Amino acid sequence: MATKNDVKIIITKIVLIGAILFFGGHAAFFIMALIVCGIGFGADNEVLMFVVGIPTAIFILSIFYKVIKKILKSSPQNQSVVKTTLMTYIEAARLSKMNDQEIADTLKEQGGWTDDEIKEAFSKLAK
Amino acid sequence: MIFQPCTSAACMFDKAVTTPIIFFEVFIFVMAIASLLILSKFTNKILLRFAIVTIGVFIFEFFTAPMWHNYHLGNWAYVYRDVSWVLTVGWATIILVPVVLIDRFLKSIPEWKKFLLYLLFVFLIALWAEKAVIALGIRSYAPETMEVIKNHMIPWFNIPWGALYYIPVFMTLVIGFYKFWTLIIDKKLIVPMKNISWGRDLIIVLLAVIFFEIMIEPMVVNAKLPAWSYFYRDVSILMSGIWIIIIWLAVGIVDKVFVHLKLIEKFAVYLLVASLITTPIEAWLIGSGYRIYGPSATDNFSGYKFLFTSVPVEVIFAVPFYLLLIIASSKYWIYILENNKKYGDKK
Repeated sequence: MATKNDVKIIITKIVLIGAILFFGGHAAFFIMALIVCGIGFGADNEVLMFVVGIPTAIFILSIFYKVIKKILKSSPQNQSVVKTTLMTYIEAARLSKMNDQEIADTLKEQGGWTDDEIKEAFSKLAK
Repeated sequence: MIFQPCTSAACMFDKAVTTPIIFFEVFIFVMAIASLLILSKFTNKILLRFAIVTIGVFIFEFFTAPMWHNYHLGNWAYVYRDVSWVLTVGWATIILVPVVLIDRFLKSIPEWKKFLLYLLFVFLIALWAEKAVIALGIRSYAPETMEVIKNHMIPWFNIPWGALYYIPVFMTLVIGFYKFWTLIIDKKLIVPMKNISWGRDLIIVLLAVIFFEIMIEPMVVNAKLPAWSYFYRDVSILMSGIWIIIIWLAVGIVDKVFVHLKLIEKFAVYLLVASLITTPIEAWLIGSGYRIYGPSATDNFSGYKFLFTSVPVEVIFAVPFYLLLIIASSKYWIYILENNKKYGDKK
């Protein structure tokens, strides 16, 4: 069950990431359009497009991606999000009659979660 | 907002119903009701499933309305311009029956094989349905669409060869849309992914966008872009590339950040983020003359413009509709590929 604090964090993240994607995405797009479509450079300037336009757009987008990643990693709630995610899955999987070993294997092999993360989620549920 | 009453052909078409068409409509209703009664023996929540397919078909029909005409169905049969709820019900039935039966009787085969079977059966039925609506004089094609399909008809069926492309694309999107929502209504066990497979997701989104863009090409002209970027008529890899990158990043980042959210919540965030980014870009492209809607599309516009812009409201609605179909069908494939091992489909 999500607490008030969880809801606050989710909303803050949605707004933050939405804003970054919104402004970052548009900045990259308009820079690319500026060059590709020749506004100020003359149309059909394909060399500029390849040399400057696409790399610039990719560069800007990658900066925004790194910023998002950094924000998320630095978030103190990140670990609780992992736990919540895994605990929710474990509970649903148990209801579908999977045993704990199968659940752990699935989370590890398919989901890519580490043994520690999986163990922690199981232990949290046991409490 | 400026209101221009719709006096164009888009609104003033012939709605007068003929006797054979009345029989056809009764046939659709009888088949729909009978199918739902029979399918309810094989699966649960049949009305909800039917509603989801109907919504998927309607979104597609609304979005592609300028490409084809549906005439002579009677005044009561239309919901928007010449988009008819009767045909929507018919298409939804054609799609739902094979999908539910295959899901019921071929449970153990892999999902991708099931999907090919859905497509095959739905396609075979759809060919007959398309033949019927053309023969009855219900279906005709917009001039822009005719320019693409020309008068090249499949012998005996008398439907365009182009149908061999657009029916499977239409079905892939709508079936993908339906199957995505069944993950939610059937409470499927979806393994949360720690890492995003960016390359695989990009390919899936790219295929969905490119196939759809090729199909809806007659509706809009992508102009003033570098010549090398056009790969089919006026479909440009630059223009399609923008949508692909936005959808791909929006979906990937939301999946990464909101791994703990429920599917339905994540879907709302995908749609919100992607719409917020694509809508102003589409508005700018229209305003700058890079995207020019054809006469059949502009005929469909009501004259209402989005606040403080010159963008028709239909375009503002079309963007999330487009994203709904593309994102739902792409995510369905992503989930299938992520959960393709033995425990994923347990519930």
